[in-house]
Amino acid sequence: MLNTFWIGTRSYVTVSAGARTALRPTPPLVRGSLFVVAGGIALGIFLIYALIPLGSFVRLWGSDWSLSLRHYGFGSTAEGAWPIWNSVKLAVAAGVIGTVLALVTAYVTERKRPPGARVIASLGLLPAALPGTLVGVGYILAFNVPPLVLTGTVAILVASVVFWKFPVAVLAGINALKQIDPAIEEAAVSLGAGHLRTFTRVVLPLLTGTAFSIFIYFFINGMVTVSAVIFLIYPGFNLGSVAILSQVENGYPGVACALGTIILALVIGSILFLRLLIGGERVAILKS
Amino acid sequence: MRRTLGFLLALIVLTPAPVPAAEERLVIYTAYEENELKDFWEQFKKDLPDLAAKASYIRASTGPVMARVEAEKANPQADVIWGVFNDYLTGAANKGLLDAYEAKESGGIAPTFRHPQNLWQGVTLLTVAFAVNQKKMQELKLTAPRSWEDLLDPKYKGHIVMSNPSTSGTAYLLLASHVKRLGEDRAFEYYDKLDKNLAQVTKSGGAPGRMAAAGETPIGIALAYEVDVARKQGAPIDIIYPADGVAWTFEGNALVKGAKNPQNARRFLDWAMSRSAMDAYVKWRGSGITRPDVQVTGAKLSELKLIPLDFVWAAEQKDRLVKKWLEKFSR
Repeated sequence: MLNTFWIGTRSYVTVSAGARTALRPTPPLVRGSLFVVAGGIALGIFLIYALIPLGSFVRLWGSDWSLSLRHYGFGSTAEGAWPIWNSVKLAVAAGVIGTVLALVTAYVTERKRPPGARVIASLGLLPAALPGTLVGVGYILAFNVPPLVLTGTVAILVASVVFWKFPVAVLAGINALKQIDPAIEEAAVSLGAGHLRTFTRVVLPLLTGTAFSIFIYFFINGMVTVSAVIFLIYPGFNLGSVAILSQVENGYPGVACALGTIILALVIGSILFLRLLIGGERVAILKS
Repeated sequence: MRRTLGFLLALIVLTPAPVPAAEERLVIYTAYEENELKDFWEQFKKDLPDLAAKASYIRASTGPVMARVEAEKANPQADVIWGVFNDYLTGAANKGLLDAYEAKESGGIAPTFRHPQNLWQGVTLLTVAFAVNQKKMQELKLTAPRSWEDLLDPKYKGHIVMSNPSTSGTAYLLLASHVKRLGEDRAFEYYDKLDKNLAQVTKSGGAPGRMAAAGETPIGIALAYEVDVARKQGAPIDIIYPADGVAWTFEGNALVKGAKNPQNARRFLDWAMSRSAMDAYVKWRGSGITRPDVQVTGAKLSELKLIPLDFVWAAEQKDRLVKKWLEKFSR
């Protein structure tokens, strides 16, 4: 609500039907110093992540630093690395379903503005305030009894990831739509296209970058989330993130790092792949 | 095209697995650690292949496992709880989440290890010990502590890591055991003195042992079993049982009230108390099992000075003792 008050009434159109003027370039001195600051932060983050593969390749952290692949044998767990495959399934499903739902919600509330659009938008943003444990236990309480029994199915996992992570995705969609001049859609309508046709043929192509950003956002969250899903996994469907936690509790930090390295590689690999597929600068990484 | 592909993909992953009819399954919730669970499960498959084929489990820490059982009360998903701390089982019994069952061959176990109405029965034991990093101790030219009293020696100042009783079950077990051993006033005096030697108080009960294994601290107060896991992986670490009293607890099994597969559940509970299962527990727990008529290995429980803790009393006192501890020692 505060959000709407702050920026809601202004216009942020950057993709316009008209011509636009070029931006003045940033002075080199400012660019240079900004580069140093950003580079420093990036290096710090990189070092933290670099410790994960490092931990997976050393024999025993702290006392035996010789290199070894023994943690990749996953001898301390009956399930091996298979929970990660379940994570991939969950992440892809959450990515596809979440992206469609988020874009439709954003389009309806931002452009169509039916009665109650405000309510839909507010409800979509509400889960941001919930801790994951609450979402997890809440989903059991709600979906373990008729009319909708979802416990023990992948649907409850997908739903929990999609709706818990919904706010950022919807906001990204709304922001992207705010940047597109409504005149473009008006042009389509005046040329005789219907609502659906305008959405699929005019709006969606302009939103491809945003759509993939949202997909990646859901995908990453599906791969790494723990707090809510730990209550919702069911026998035979463990997740990579939960398996990592088990290995840490279990006293096998090396195996946990090995699982973490695989997840890290999958996430980075899929981001690079998608960027390659549709053009790097159009896919942004969203962060809640 | 891309969209159609996405939909197909979604359909494939979303098609729910067919749910078999009643008594065709057995769902087990367990808090046993992955590594030991792997061996226990192998033994189960060997002994009862027909039941094991229908069985599946979820493993998580005690807290989430029991929170799930409680949240699913209206429509229980689990049939059996296996290897969960007895204080949580007592809590679940008081909330009416469990059904009584007396496993075959459970006649020999001591009354301490069972609920009076057999709502749960104990199988495995855990002890608290000092995790001492030999390499670190040599660097510091220190000798290993042998008792709780030794830990108060000023030479260990800044070299001991312990966990916080408000967040760690291990640390609360220890607090309650010290209160039992020394009486409440002297126990808090003990913590007063110990506090001066502590380098850090961690949130997680597993952290002190992990830190000692990695050489981040010379001495950690941890579950002996966890230290042993690190030792077997090659960490230069010793397990020392304090001579003036060893804190301990035990894990047990229970039948979930309203279980969908009660026959299978009872069969499993019989197995989990059997001689064969106990032999599997011994591989990981040494002497830490509840049946007196099974051959054990490792430090004999009878050679340790176990602190006789009343677990029901400890559970009742938890809120009060933890609050008192936090008021004095939170930093």
